[in-house]
Amino acid sequence: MNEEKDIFDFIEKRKIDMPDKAYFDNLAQSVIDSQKTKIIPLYKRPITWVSAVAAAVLVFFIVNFNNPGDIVTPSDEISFNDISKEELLAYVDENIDEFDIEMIAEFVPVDELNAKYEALENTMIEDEEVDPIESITLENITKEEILEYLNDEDFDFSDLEDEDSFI
Amino acid sequence: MSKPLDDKHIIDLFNRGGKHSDLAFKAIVSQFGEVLYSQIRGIAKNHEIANDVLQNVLIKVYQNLPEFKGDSALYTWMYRIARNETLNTLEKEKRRAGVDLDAPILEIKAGHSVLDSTTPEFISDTLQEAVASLPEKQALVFQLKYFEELKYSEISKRLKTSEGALKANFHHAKQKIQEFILNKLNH
Repeated sequence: MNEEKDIFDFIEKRKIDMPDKAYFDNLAQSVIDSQKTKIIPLYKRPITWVSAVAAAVLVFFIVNFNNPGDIVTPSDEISFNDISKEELLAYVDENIDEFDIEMIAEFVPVDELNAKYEALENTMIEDEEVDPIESITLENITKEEILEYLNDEDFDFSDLEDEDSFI
Repeated sequence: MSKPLDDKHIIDLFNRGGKHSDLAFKAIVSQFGEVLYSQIRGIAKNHEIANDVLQNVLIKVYQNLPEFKGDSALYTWMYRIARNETLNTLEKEKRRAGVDLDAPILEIKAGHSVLDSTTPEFISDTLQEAVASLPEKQALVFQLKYFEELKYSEISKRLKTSEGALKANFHHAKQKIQEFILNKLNH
């Protein structure tokens, strides 16, 4: 039976074309060269050291000598105590939209806030020399002032013809 | 020709670094380059592909040699790298289409009715497929004994295995390959 015969007795190897010795020598050298450029540890690379030292010196000079006026020192820092009350009020007035009630309430106690509000209100009234609202009555206003006001408001007097009760 | 270095000597030399590493690596390529190339080219069937694969294999050997523990012979370790690299490359690139392929590695002699009905190309490919399916040690011994025609004493030195064990491995390898080929042809 054919299948019982050893197959290897009926097959023959063909010789593979092998490259010469120089091929293997060159291959070994090219692998060595490629790996040497890749696996040299960072700390062993002279160019890395030179670059690192140069960069460090450059940064040192930039920070310390290049523009000393721009460097903030502790003596230049602005203290909160150096800001006058007027400057603070002016800032708040200009940026009032940036403040919300919750933020103010968080930093200023309610009692103190009420006291400050009343004091501020009194100050404003005194400054503008405006009479308190309670002191204004119809008796203090003359007829001419009323007519002048109505004229300023472009009041239509014909509307009054049917209003018997008015005046 | 200088005397081949043993595995331990090569590894010690490589780990000393610098020029010693270069010498050790050149010794590796000098002692094992041809066998690795033959192994790769037998499967790749093209010099350019075999060249690319061998270069990748040697790069991996260079990079991983410091971690090589010596649990197996150096050649066994490299054979494994070469086998995986070859099969992975061929699987990935699928570039054998359009490439000039070598003539089949096997020729068929008349007299075996099953083999007479097939071609050298088919039997060559099937044999390589059968070798790839073997356990690593059997495949390795088959490669060295059948294709490289090394003596058992030489293989024994390279693989640090007794000649008796090598003969058993070779016998089992041949049996399995034969069964593989016959099964393939009968289907």
